[in-house]
Amino acid sequence: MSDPRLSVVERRLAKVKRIVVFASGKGGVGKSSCSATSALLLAHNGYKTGLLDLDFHGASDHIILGMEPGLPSEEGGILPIEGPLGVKFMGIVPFTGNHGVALRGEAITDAILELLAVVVWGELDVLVVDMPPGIGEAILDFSRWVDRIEVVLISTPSILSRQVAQRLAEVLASGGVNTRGYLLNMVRDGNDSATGDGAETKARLLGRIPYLEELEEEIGSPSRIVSSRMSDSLREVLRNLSFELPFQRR
Amino acid sequence: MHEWALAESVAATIEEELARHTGSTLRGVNLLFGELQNIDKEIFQTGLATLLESIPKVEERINIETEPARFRCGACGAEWDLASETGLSEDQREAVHFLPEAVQAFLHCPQCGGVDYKVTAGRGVTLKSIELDEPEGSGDAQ
Repeated sequence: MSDPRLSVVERRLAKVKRIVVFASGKGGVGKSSCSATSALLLAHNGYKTGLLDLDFHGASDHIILGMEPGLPSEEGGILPIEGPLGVKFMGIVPFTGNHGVALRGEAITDAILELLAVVVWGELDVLVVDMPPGIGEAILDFSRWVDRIEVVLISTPSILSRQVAQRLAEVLASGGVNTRGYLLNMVRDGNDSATGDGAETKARLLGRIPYLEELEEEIGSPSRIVSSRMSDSLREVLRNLSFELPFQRR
Repeated sequence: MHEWALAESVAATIEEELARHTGSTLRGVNLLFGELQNIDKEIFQTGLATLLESIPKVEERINIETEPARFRCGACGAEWDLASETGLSEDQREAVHFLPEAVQAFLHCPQCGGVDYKVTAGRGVTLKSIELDEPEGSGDAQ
């Protein structure tokens, strides 16, 4: 018998216009920073925005948003938690708090499917999804259960990161997943010419984000984040994804 | 309620099954509720019956059994059940009710204290089977 939760996944997301997924081959390349900052930027520019943190082992989007989410409310399902600038947030942290959770493959799949089946997002212009690193359950399951996702691959300029991102891109392409392109994060002077070795030539470059020393100080402060240099760079990425972002840095 | 969302998923699956078997009617649906998720049977049953109200006497066709939760430690191999666990606070029980995997943030193996364990039974809502009555005469087609 098929899992009944699969029958309602699309229904729960029916009023979500776009689903943008940030993914990477390697960890530590800035997926959470890019996901949370993008969600804040989009909300700041008038988009009804949701943020789903599927990185259960490394959940940190809530920290960037400056939230300490507790148990959610119920109304015909589980309601996402209202965060700064109206961003609707969901992930594992509202249920587990600040505890580590030793989830393995099947349990990760179960937890993702449970969230997709019971979280009532309502009307959203965009749902930003933060994936864990690698070619694992989260990206494979999510891309199989939810069509119409738009994947943005994140990599640092390092050949190590870019080659693994390319492998992820190939896996996603084999499943017919729409990868919109990639962005280079943590670019330092002199290492932003990430071309010529074939590691990312098949995907479109959506933008570059410089290595930003001040990023750590901006964590937890949404008002600083939306007027940060990180946001300046992400605006270009989001515009390349056809979002309109009229508000400039203040 | 959260139970409503889970009932919706079961109702949708039943409707899909009925649509696949044109002319058939629902004889019964057999569900297994994992002890861990602690679903309110009455709310769920009412929700499911409401969602399937076009089916005559649908309440009588819903069969729900409860499966005890079981855990097995990946480190030491110990196995235990939920009945022996009294350490969960009300908030933690509520969290596990919403998302059963959250249990691994709160419970430890009673033998070695580890957290690398697996829920081997009694997790959440499982749809065991949907029984349909085929339309009269359909059996003669073969």
